[in-house]
Amino acid sequence: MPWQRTVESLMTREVLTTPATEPLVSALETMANERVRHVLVTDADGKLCGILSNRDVARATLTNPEHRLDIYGTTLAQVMTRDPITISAKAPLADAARLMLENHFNALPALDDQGQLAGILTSDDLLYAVVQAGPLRSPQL
Amino acid sequence: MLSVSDLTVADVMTANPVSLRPDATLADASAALLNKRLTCAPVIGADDSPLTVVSTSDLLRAYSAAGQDCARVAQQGIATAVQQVPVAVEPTLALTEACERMVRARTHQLLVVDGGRLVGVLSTTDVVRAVACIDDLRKSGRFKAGEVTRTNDAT
Repeated sequence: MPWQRTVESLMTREVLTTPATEPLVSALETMANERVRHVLVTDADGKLCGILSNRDVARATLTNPEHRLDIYGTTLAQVMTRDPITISAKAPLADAARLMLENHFNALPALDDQGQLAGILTSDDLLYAVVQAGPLRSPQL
Repeated sequence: MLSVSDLTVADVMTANPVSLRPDATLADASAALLNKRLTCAPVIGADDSPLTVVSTSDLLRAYSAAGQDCARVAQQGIATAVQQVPVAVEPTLALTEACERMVRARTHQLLVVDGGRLVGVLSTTDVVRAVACIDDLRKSGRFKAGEVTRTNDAT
């Protein structure tokens, strides 16, 4: 079973990041083109400073006057979730699952020993690991 | 000036969504969600009435609790894993009201029900698509209410 595996054994290492100063449309294009639900956001030093999810966009639309959201004039910094919860790349998958379930997240940025962004782990990744690890009688993935 | 306020749930929902039957196992649900890149799927009865929703989080919670015994748990029925009470809306509901219910319920998906039958799902991805699409169409001057393109891909 996969729960003792480390986050880094499963995470996606080629992480899509966008600077916080970029307009929202950049992140939406990334989400659409790459078929991802989350975009990691970086500050001027290239360090992780936020995460943008579908739900952030829905929430921003609601809070904007008359429910209009200018995706060209709104920056990621205005919409993203700041200082996202992260996990060590060395942590076991069991810890990642617990963090996601407790906080209602579907993605966790993973950091290396130096605190640098090393990858991203999603709930899909975890589910895939479980299915691959066990003799689950199910249609072929 | 066009805004999301002009839209209803029916304008942007995913019609004919991937769904599961009540006798599906956790393994069936896992395969369906992963294959279709979905975060959750409605469970419907023989008359297409919505019963509940099973999500990736539901499955992970069950597998995580099972520890080394995932293979056995995977053969259990999905009813053993489902925790969330589904939030249902009508297709004529304003999209903004649907978004508010979504945020309030901390869910990524609403069931769209008409006359007791499941007719679609509304996900946060559908909302994002609508927000992006509206702006592009407004700038090009081509938008008419109800013309927002909906694709049936995974959410």
